[in-house]
Amino acid sequence: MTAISVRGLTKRFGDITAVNDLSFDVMHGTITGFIGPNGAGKTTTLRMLLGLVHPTAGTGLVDGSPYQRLDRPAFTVGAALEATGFHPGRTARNHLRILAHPNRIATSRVDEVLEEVDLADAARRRVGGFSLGMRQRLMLAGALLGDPRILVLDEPTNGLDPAGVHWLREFLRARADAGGTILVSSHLLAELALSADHVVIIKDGRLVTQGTVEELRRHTGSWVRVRTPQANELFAMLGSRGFRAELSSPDEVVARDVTTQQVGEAVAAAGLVVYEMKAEEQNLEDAFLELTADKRKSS
Amino acid sequence: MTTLVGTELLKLYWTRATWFFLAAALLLSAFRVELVLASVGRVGSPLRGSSDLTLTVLGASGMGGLVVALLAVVIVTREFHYATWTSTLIATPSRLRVLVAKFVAAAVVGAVLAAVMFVVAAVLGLISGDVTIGLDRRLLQLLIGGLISAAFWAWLCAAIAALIGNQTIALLVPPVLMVLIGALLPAYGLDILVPWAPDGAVTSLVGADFAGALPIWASLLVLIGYGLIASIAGLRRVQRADIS
Repeated sequence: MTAISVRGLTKRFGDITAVNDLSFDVMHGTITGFIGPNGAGKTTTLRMLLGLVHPTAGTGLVDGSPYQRLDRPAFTVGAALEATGFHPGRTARNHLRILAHPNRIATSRVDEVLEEVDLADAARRRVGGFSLGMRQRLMLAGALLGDPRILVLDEPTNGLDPAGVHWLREFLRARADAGGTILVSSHLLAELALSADHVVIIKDGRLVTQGTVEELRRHTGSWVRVRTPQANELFAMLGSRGFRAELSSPDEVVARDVTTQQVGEAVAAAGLVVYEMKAEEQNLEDAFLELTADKRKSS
Repeated sequence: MTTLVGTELLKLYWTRATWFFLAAALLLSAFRVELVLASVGRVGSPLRGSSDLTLTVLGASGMGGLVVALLAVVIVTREFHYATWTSTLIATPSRLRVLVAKFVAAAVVGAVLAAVMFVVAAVLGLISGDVTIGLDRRLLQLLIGGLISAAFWAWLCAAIAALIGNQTIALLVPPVLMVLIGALLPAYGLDILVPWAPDGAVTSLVGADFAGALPIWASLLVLIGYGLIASIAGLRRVQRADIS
């Protein structure tokens, strides 16, 4: 079942198209990573989804409705968009009480979410003195007030230390395992690969690819790099066995989509001398960079 | 709507700047009242114990209204200034309801502060021994008109602030509306417009007598008209804005 549905979402700011005909779905009970380089249009998309930015075209639905039509939205979707929208003179607790009040959420719940994000000790401190990491936690606390089934988080790991990132990952996984739905944006695929079930990758406001993390992993390649004084012979022999290989330098052959065992057996059968053999693979971050690379620059 | 107005009042209550504004309003009001009381007995000032002196003293308390109007501006513009619009609209997606709640909250604060300033002025007057409080029609008009006027100024300034958005520029609105226009119109020979200006309509409402003063009902209509026009313009601007 679809928790979040984006259809043909487009936003133009004058001559600049920030988001261009973007469509994707987020299913209930999953963590979906919304990934793209800086300036890809992630934040604009999330803001359109939450009714903060008016789309030029298209729709964004949360639980089947536009966000603006949700009655007491804090109970359906919790959103944490930026760690800067705080009145610096208010305490963390009062900031949350102000968010809780229009949704008639009890103050006891405010204390609960402060505890949940590990900010209970700082509850009565003014937000102006908070670090970026503490502000991120406070934003998350605001999103959790109504204990919603859906969370929309924009770059929530910005400013978090490694322990904080780990904590957030565990926290999101636990919520998803309990049936919650999370749409979380980031410009780092590797960061989300450990926790996300699905990924939606955008660049220049357009969808690049979407699918499960496993599907994305399948698109990454692997190869065996062999350093040998008989590179030409090895290259010819691998070709005769039907392996895809290339002569990367006079003493090096790169064989694609093979295992070291297959190459080793071939080398032994031909009686070739090998100085070094190394299995390598493209990781998700490399795949992401390749997918979002500026083709004009790379060509 | 009551809940949203309550939220806006809570925002004020939990912000230190509010208390500075309120303290400044009361101090300014008390200072102006003391100036009036200090002039009692001099040539041209109302007689001790007269109803005219009572009206002058209580009327002088309205001086703090300028600071309250500045606070009304801040009720709206600080959302832009501190980028808190995002969290406010995520909690309550209806921009119309949020803005109307802000206007109502501003008006409530304006009226309550006006009442407090009246009390402060009355207490200072009674302590001085020069003022006696006897409720008559003119005093009643000053008190009721004063409360309505304070609510109106706060509403109008909040609505114009929504239209402007920028806090620094919006903070110029109260002095321009409450002081400058009223002074400039006669200076440029536009006396005929004075009763129709917000300041002129307010002056008529509290019972001050001047050439061309409007009747109470007309003053009220003029003030409501200004408030509605500014509110609609402010709402349209905020409704259309992208919060980014």
